[in-house]
Parts: sequence; structure tokens; C-alpha cells
Amino acid sequence: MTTVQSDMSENDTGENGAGEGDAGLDRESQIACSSAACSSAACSSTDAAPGLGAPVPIPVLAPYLGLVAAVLCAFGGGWLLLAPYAFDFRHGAARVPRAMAVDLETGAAIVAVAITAAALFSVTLVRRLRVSSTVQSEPVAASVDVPESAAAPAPEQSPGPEVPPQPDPGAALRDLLTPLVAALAADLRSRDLDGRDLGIPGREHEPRRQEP
Amino acid sequence: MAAARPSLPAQRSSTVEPSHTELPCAPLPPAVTRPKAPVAALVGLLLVALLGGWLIAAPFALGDQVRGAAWTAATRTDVATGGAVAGLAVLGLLGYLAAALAWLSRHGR
Repeated sequence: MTTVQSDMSENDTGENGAGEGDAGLDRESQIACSSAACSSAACSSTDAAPGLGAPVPIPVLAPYLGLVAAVLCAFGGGWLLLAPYAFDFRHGAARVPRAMAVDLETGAAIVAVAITAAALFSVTLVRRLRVSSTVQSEPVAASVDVPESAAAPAPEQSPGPEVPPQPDPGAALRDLLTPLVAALAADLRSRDLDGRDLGIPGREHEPRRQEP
Repeated sequence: MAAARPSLPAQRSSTVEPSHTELPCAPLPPAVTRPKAPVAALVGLLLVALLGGWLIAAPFALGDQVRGAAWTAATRTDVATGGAVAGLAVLGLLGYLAAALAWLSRHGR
């Protein structure tokens, strides 16, 4: 059993180090779990090495490429708006030549469409980056060690989607210490009373020896 | 004189190898939610590519460039800029497609 767990942890380390090379491992683990051997009692999530079910990275390269291409196309359209004036297509004519009009109209259309596409690509990219940052922050929060005393009441809580309100740690500590302090005070009080009953001055606080 | 060879232990290790049914199963990977493709943005990029193609063909289609004559400055600008814009848009579309297919081949099911 120890050998198996060490092998799995090595796979886990290699997977995290490789970054995105976890597809084959996930598929193999899925195939292994879907087999008939999975009906045994040993198949539980606590026995497996952590990280094998690592979240799949959100694809951000594709919208990034689209955003870059759209921005460059917008620059091309801007150049089309400037080129008729830069190269003086008009040549002092009274009317605007058709080539200049075509360039201006097409350039304006390219700029408008490219800026819209770039905005849509950027919105998609921001959404995916937010999702990926959320997915990456969840395992960190889940890997924090929780003491058993704090983790014990967890199964009693209802598994609802809403997060239960966290109890005040000061109140919990006060509730824990109040009966202890009361018991200590009662014990000291009883010892004082016992010392006075025996009539021994200065020995009120010593504990009584039990008679054999 | 053949000395008695020491007998090998029956089992080299005291640990018993687990059987196939006792092996712990790895947890299932989380369900892959395939993100939505920005269809409108991709359509916009396709429109830009078509506009670039139109820009290449416009001087010849509208008759501003006489067939066989030297290209004017407007024709050179239109063809060069149209080619650049159309090429960039097509490259963006192909890059998006390649990146999406690579992600699907790696993580998609």
C-alpha cells in the first residue's frame, strides 16, 4: 500500500511540474475508476493522492490570439483612413475620387468591426481569466489543515449551497472557559470551608489527605 | 565438495502486495465545462477578412485601375492594406481554431 501511494504522489508531482501534461493521466485514472475494481471499499477520495483530480486549465490562448488579430486589423483600418490624405489621392480635384471614398468607407468599416471584435474577445478573455483565477484559488483554500475539533461539527451542518455563518471565536472560547472557571472557584471555596472546619489557621488552602 | 547453498527466504519482503481490487482508485477529474466560444467576435473577424478581400479587389472591380497599366498609388495602397488586413484576420481565425482544437484534444472528452 505504501508503494502504491508513493508512486501516485510521484505522478502528482510530475503532473504539477509539467503544467498541462495531465490529460493522459486523467484519462487513465478515469478508465481505472470506471472498471469493475472500483466497486471495492478501497475506492474513496481520501485514499487517493491529492491533485490527481486537478482542475482543467481554462483556455485563454485562443481569445488572446483573436484579440491580437482584431487589434492589428483595427490599426490597418486606421491606416486606410489616413492613406488617402497621406498619399494625396485627390490631386487637387474638386470632387472626392472614388478610390478615396472606397478607402475611407472600407477603412471605417474595418475599424468599427475590428474594434467590436476586439472588445468581444477581451470580454471573453477577462471572463476566462477570472474563472481560472477562481479555480486556482479553491485548492489553496481546501488544502489548509483544519484541526479535528473544528472539523468535527462539519457533518452535522446541512450541506446547502449557502455558506453557514461562522461562529464568533471569542464567544466559543468564553463558553468553553466559563464552566471551567466556575468549577475552579467552587473547588477553592470548598477547600476554604474545609480548612475553617478543621480549625487549622494558615492551612485552609492545603488539600486534605484522604484517610486510608 | 559442494557446500550447501543457503536457502532463499520464501518471501523477500514482509509487506504483502495489494491485489487489483485493493488498489486505491484515483478520484475522477472534475467535469470539464467547455467554455463558450465568442461567436460574435469570430464572425467580426471573418467580416474583417472579407473586407480585406474586398479592398484587394475594389480597384479592379470598380475600374479605377486600368488593366495592363502601371498601378496607381491608390491601387498599391488598397492591395497592400487589404492583403495585410485579410491575412491578419485569417491568421487570427486559424490561431483561434488551432488553440481551441489543441485544448480540446488535451482536455476535451
